[in-house]
Amino acid sequence: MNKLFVIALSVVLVLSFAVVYLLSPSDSDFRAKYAPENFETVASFDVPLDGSGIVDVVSSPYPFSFKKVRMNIDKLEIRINRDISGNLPEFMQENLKAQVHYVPEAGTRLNLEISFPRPLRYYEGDDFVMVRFFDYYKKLLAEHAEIMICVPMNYEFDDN
Amino acid sequence: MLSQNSRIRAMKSLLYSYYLDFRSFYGIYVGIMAGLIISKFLITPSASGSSALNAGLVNCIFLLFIAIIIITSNTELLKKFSFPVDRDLIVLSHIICILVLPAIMLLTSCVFFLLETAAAELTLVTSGNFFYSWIITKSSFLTGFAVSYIAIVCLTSMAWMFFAWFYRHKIIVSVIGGTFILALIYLDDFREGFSSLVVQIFHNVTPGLLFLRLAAVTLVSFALGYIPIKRMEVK
Repeated sequence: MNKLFVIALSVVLVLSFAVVYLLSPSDSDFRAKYAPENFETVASFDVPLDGSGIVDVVSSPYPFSFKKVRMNIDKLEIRINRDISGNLPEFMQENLKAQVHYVPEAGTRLNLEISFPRPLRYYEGDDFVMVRFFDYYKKLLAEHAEIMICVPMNYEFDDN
Repeated sequence: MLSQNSRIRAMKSLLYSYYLDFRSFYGIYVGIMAGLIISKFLITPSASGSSALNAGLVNCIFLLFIAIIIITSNTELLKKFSFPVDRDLIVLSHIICILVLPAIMLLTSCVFFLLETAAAELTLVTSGNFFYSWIITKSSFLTGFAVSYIAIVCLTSMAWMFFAWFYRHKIIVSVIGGTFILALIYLDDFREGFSSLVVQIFHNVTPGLLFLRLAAVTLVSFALGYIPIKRMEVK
């Protein structure tokens, strides 16, 4: 009985390792999942396009992670990843509240404020933390984001 | 030949006795992991927190550290000495445990990771505001598993070496250990030197190189830990 239990447990352990491995995407699939084409715009704002400006994201979209991208667009956009389990774009379309506040005394400075109903239920199936010791995996896993904030090329993000 | 057979039988029975000892530790490990999943999905409203892979890693380090404190104690060691078990067999069985247990515990964390994912899928069906992401790739999973395994083995072997010396020479090891900790706290140069040594091991390395470095530290720890146990008298 004891021996059978140990054998069954060993098989389950090895199988679970194999299943996690097989269910995981390859590096290129992972990158594709978080490529800009896989994000859907849920909010956009007209912003001045002359001169240069600074965008400061003043509220945290916790528990989601977000990335800030400069691209060839003429609006400030908030995009949501389509591949997150649970139809996040639809939820955000209905619930996201985003506001842009102009701060004229600081030049063309825009404060972006994002809010949505909390608490949300969110689970992050994260890899072993040790893997982030390596630059390659640190950069690869940093591609992951549920929210992407996109600004025109003449804007910079305030990272302070 | 006869002597070799009896040593192999002694080794098997010794490993079996360690298997019986470690069953309770494994039970605690499984209990903690199950409790974390239940609290994550049923009790807390956010379902956030470390995934089972990371929770398993931390639990494994913590529980193995406690296990090492116990198995290297004089009382536990002397319990295992019965003819033909000698110090070499004891050390060999400890090394086998240090190499095998982290693998079992990390594989168990994979089982719980799958259970977490299944719980996430179930919650997805029942809740309108639940979302989840898998931040893992095939290569990152294999690398993470291998590096986590060798890191746990390395830390456990260092703890084994330390406590093997500690239980044999309590005063000397306490004085040296205390001096080391005080130097780390009060001497800036010493602290910087020590932290740069640790950083040297982890900084700018490939997974293979880190694996080799930690394996080398493990081997040195095994060799140093063997000395005080070898010197023990069999009562």
